[in-house]
Amino acid sequence: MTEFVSYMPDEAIEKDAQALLAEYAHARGVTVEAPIAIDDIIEKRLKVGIEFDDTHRLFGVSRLSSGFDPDILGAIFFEQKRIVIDESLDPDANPAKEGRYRYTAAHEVGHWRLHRALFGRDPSQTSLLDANTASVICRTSQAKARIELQADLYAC
Amino acid sequence: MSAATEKFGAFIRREREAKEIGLREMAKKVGVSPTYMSKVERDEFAPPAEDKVKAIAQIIGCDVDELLARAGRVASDLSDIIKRHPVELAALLRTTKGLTTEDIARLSRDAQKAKDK
Repeated sequence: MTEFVSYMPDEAIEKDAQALLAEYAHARGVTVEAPIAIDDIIEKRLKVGIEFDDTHRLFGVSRLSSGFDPDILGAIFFEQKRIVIDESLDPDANPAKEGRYRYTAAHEVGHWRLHRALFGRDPSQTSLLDANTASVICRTSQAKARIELQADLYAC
Repeated sequence: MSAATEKFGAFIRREREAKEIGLREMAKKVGVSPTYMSKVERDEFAPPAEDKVKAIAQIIGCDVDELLARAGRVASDLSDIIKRHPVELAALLRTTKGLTTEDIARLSRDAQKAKDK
């Protein structure tokens, strides 16, 4: 799937991120300032659910085999409108992970905004895919794919 | 229909989202970690302890006893009351079997009136 992701100028990605922040600020009647309320933007503006789970168990990937812990930081399910973040990044259980959590969440927003249209699929085939089929699984060990780089840039 | 069969986790997640309460926001109010809350909402974990269920009921604005029942529990004050008069209360509760919700509500009102006299 990732090979179908076309080039997008950095400015276009940055522009969309700014547009989302402006939309959010306008809808809520607030001024956006750091730290950006990433949870609110995801859950209340985009209406996408946030969940925490052991993503390695969820996707059947060994947590340590890649040399990165965690290797899978998050995943997004476009059809189900949900983002699953690895539980090791739970910022309330591990306050030191707040930054990593926020970056991962923003990265998934990047997928939602930039790549969701690429995954529009034939409804007649939906039944062939089980609920655990994530649209994009984000792994540290595979961070160089264009789809991941675009999402990273979005998060910045 | 689905409301009756909907599991505890799915129910509280739907109600939370309808009220525009974030996962982390909810977990903080209940006093649990977002990961724990997330697993309860996916019904991977059993519903939490009674005090947490009560806190959740207050946050999402639903009846405490109803949410406890959905969690497969009976409020601890109720079991204490039953233990004080086990024979009589068991008989009373068994009598209500087969009655409609309205019948039971009427009984309850009558009992309250008797008590107020």
